[in-house]
Amino acid sequence: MRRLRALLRDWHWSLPGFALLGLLVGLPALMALPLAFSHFDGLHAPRFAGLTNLARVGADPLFWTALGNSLKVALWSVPLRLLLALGLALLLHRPRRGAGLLRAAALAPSVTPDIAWALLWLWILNPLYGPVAWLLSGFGIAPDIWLTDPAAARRVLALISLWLIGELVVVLIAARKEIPQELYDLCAVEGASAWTVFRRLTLPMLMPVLLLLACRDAALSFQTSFLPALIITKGGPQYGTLLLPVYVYQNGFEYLRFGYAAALALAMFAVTLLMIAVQLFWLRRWTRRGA
Amino acid sequence: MLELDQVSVALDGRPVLHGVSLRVAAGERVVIAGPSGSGKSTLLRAVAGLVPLAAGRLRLDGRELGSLPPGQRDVAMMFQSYALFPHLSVLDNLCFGLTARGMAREDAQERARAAAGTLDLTPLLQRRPRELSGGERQRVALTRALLREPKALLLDEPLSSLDTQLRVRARAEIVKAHAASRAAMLLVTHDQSEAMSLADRLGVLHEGRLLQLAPPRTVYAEPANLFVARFLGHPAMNTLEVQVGLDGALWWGSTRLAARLATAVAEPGRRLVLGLRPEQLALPGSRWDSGDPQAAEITAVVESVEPAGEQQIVWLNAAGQRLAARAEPELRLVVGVSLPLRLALSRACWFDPDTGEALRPAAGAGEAMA
Repeated sequence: MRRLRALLRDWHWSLPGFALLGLLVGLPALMALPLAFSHFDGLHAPRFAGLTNLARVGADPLFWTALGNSLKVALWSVPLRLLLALGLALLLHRPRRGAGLLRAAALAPSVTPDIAWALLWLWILNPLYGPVAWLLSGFGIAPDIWLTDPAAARRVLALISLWLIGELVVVLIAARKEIPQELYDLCAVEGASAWTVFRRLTLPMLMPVLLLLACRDAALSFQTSFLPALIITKGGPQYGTLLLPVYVYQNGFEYLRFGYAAALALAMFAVTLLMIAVQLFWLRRWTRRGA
Repeated sequence: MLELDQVSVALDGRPVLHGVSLRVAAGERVVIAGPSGSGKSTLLRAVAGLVPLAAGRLRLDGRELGSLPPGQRDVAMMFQSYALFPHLSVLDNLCFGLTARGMAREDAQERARAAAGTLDLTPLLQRRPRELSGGERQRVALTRALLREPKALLLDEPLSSLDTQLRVRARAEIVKAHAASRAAMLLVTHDQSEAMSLADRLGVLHEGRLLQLAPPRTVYAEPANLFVARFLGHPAMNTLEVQVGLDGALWWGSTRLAARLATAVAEPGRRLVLGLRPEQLALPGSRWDSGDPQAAEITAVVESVEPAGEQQIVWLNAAGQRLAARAEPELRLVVGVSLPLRLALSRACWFDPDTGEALRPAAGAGEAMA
């Protein structure tokens, strides 16, 4: 009883958040769980399937393709996103003329409806009349490879993911502002170069936040890459951008194999958990060594 | 030698320092005291190059500093927060300035290890700042500032985050660490006892102006004006508004304090402010009464008594004015009793009531005014 009260005292401000989270995320996720063990097409009543669906996931070559694609996209997008967000945060953290506007600009894509900017990117990347093709043709580069080659299409998806770094920038600006100004004054008096200040003060002080963001970003990249992959490349070419969530979506809502889609989602969940666990392990190790 | 010549600084268009001039010789300790908001930290930051000068000149050993970036000025600064890097060990913190300037890590560490002994830091070298006590952090910051052997050492409120007992020890450590170097030391503080005990020369800064710069004893005994007089000393100096009569006698309201004044300030008819330190008010029967040759006697009522260990502070009321006196702790005093109070006029300070300036030309005030 006392422990419960202490728990409530520490956490009661978060209860509404937890309630919403449970209702909108936890409950549907729980309801999907029995679905993974049944056959269901949305027309007939669900039939119990046991482990058939899960066994099929393991044997499905497209599942492994999709998993590999998702990891490849994340491998490009997560470091690029962090690097760009760090650069922007360091440029924009200081209050100067126009900084507010630029910060708002960095955050703006994150609050734009996904479908709107995905369609915008479809136009930007159009090889016939899009601005990128037009720009490249100015340099004499043929504009048609980026969405027809599987590897190039994945890189395009990673590039598009740079669009949504507003939150990372906000978090990193906050973290940068937490570093006491007197440490920078000391560096100035001690004659440290800008590179030394970055390498020996700014980067180590931001490192725990950067690692945590990398962790979060890698886990989220499975989800955030879903929409551009669906709208812009539709999983192609040659399954090159068939990402895990796209495959789940296709199975569920295009082929009406809800049971199998739920099983795939379960597998995706397991992979995500594994990724977070591995990264947390490294994060712990790193911060303990640094502490 | 560190030289400031008519240094003015403005922050966000608001003037903070007005024509401050002072010199700190190599190996000398100059302490600038002042209330918060007087511009003390800004003064140090201007010398370090962290804020630009609006006017005036800065020289260190004859070299013009004004246009140099902070890193090329050959000054070291110890910040109020100590500014230790939380992710670096004590050893790496000590080495930071040297390695940042391109010294090899091994050489820097060797020098840091050698210097660490002075303030007993050797057992702490592998620790992180958060594993240190306040006093230990202060010693690390001080050692780091001096490790580079700077020509000038700037200290911003170095003891403000320590408790009272540690402060006394830390003061001695600052003196000890500085004595080993030949740096010109400029320290700012709001704490007057710290200022008095650390200073070879003591300056008082008020609203961006240096009011006086002189040895601490002189600033205490011969304050340049009423602000300095009231800022230094606890309790503050007692001030009485008096007037010289046409007959040359000194009157405080309807009380005649003296028939003739032995000082030059006594033109007939002139209004004056008489300043007396609490130890210049003698209570009857006190052994601390030094028997001033020009003592004036007034009647005062004991309002309250504050025991302060080695002394007691006696608050008195004389004709509606509150006065503070000092006496030995053994002296028996009863609250509410009226008694004759002797004022040591020959050691008193005199001020102009309109300008607040001291009327006896105070020695040492010259440099601040020059």
